[in-house]
Amino acid sequence: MAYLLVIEDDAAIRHNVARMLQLEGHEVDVAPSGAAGLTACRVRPPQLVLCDVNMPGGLDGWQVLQTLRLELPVVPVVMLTALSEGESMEKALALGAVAYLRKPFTRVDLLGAVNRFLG
Amino acid sequence: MEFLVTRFGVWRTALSLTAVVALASVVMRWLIYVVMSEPVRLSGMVLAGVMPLALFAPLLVVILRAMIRLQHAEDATASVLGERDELAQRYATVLNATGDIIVVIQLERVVYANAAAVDRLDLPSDRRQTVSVLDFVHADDRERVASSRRRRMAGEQVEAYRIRVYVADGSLMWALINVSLIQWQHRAAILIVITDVSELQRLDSAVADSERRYRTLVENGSDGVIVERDDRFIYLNRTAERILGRSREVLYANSINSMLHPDDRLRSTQSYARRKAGDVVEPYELRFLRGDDTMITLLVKGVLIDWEGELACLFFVADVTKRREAERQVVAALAHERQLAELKNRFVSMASHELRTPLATILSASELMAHYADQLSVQEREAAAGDINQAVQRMEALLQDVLMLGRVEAGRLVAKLESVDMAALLAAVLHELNTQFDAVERVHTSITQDTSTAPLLDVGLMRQALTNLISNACKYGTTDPRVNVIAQLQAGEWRITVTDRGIGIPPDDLPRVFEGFHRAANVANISGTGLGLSIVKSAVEAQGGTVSVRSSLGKGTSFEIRLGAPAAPIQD
Repeated sequence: MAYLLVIEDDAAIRHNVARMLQLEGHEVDVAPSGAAGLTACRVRPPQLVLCDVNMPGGLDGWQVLQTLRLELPVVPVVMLTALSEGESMEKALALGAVAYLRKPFTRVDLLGAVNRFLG
Repeated sequence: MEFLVTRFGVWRTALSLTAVVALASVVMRWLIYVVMSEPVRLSGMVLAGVMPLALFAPLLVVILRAMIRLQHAEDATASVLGERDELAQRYATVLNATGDIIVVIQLERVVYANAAAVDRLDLPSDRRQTVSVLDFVHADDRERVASSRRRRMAGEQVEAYRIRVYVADGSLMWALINVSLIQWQHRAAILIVITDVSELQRLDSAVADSERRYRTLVENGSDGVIVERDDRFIYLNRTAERILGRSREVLYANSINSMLHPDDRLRSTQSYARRKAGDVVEPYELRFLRGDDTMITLLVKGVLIDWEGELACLFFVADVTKRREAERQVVAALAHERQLAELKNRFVSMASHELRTPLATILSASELMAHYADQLSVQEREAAAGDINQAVQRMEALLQDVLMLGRVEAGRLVAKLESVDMAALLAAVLHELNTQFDAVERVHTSITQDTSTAPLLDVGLMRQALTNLISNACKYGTTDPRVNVIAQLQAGEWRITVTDRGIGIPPDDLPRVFEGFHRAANVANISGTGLGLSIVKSAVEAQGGTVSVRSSLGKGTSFEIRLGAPAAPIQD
């Protein structure tokens, strides 16, 4: 049982991921943009963040990740992305993400990543 | 008396005078013997013997004096004659020693020939009376000799000239002929001095041949050859004339700079100055205006030379217009290829992203239903099924775009024209885009129609075009979400505008927005394939219409589709 935050601009994915985690017994909040996600983190720091990379509206997943590393260095961040290049994975890990889930990801991958990084 | 001596000589005069005295003495004695008496005779005889002597004594003195003077004169004459002979001898020696052939002609006959003439022209004394001067002249040069003679006769000064002369061994010699009129033994004669200039002629001819060879090379070389001084052409070969496309007269008459592209004039002047300062100037290009007003590109290699004693610039020029054009095309083609390759890479990456997102939706929705079915409400299950449906549609749309692009590229896009209900079509498009963009709420539509007949359209192509324009307007209109769609039917023409208040298109990207795979610089993380507008353009044009765009960065963009107007001009 943990408090998680899902930052994702695609409504369907955002809802489905959050719902799956809720049904696994977690408390989950959602944010449709990078800015909203950061606000939510500041209001109540989650135990783990799932964050999309490509988001419109000025603040993308990389920027959110960098900000969280500075502001909440202990909170593990798992990146969700439709980008396929290995470079993106390297970038995610270099910027301090604990894991990188490439879309489309399975339930097993999702829950595996979440459980591994929840203290 | 002196006259007599001079006229008849000393001894003849003396003998004559003695004879006269003797005769006078005999005559006087006979007269005395006849006339006088015996006693007187003796004294008369004595007188007759003495009288003539007494009478002629002064005469004899004069004679003797004349004889003495004459003797002196003869001595002097002999001395002068001796000197003259010596001088003549000396002249003869000189004349014979000179290598030049010297002949004197009188009445068409050779009256004098020096040793060289005798030797080289084979002119011994016995032959001189039988040969004519023209016999020695090469047939082709006889007219030259004749004309010189005519001119000389007419009192003109005739300069030395060159002709071919046959010499003793029958070979030809190039001869410089110098003719003067002289007096020869108190009569007019022609003095001809003939100098052998065969070697000179051979050298001259070699020089002329060499000059001709170089001229041929220079005139016919593939490079234009130009000599320039003070911004003027002073020499041009034929190739240069051909390359520059103007007549020599025009080229010589005009300032070179005036015929150059204005941007290249300074360069030309600077290059000249640098050359003058001793710098080596690398070959460079200049644009030159030909006579037919076409601008050509010249590759120019220049060097300073001495031209007729003054500094000038020698240029080799080649017309590289076609080469440059070809290079430009190759570079452009290469750039285009590179751009296409880059766009294709971008497309692959975009398409992969665009496919991964709906696939993630489908997978998450299906796993949600599969693993937690009993924990989900009916509404949630329906929503999940709806998600899957939407995602499939999104992928289908992407597939349609890609397929359509393929059809456009293959030139197989053909419109199936039919009557289209614009209001229904727009409603369907908005409904399709509603879940993704809240299109029904955000997009305000206005349709007005006059009584004219609407043009026939392809409903599939129209749906694709409008879907792309409206979804773009929604996607890129995030700052102010309102989108306006105005469709007006007027005089048989549909004008449909789709206007957003979004991020706008940078001016640099505006001319290229309709190109396939092109996405503007400011799209940031807004997903897209870069195909939409290219498909809009193809779809509209396949129906005989036009599409145009107006955009203001940061304020919004407006696209206008015009369909049905005959030859509607494209507006920007």
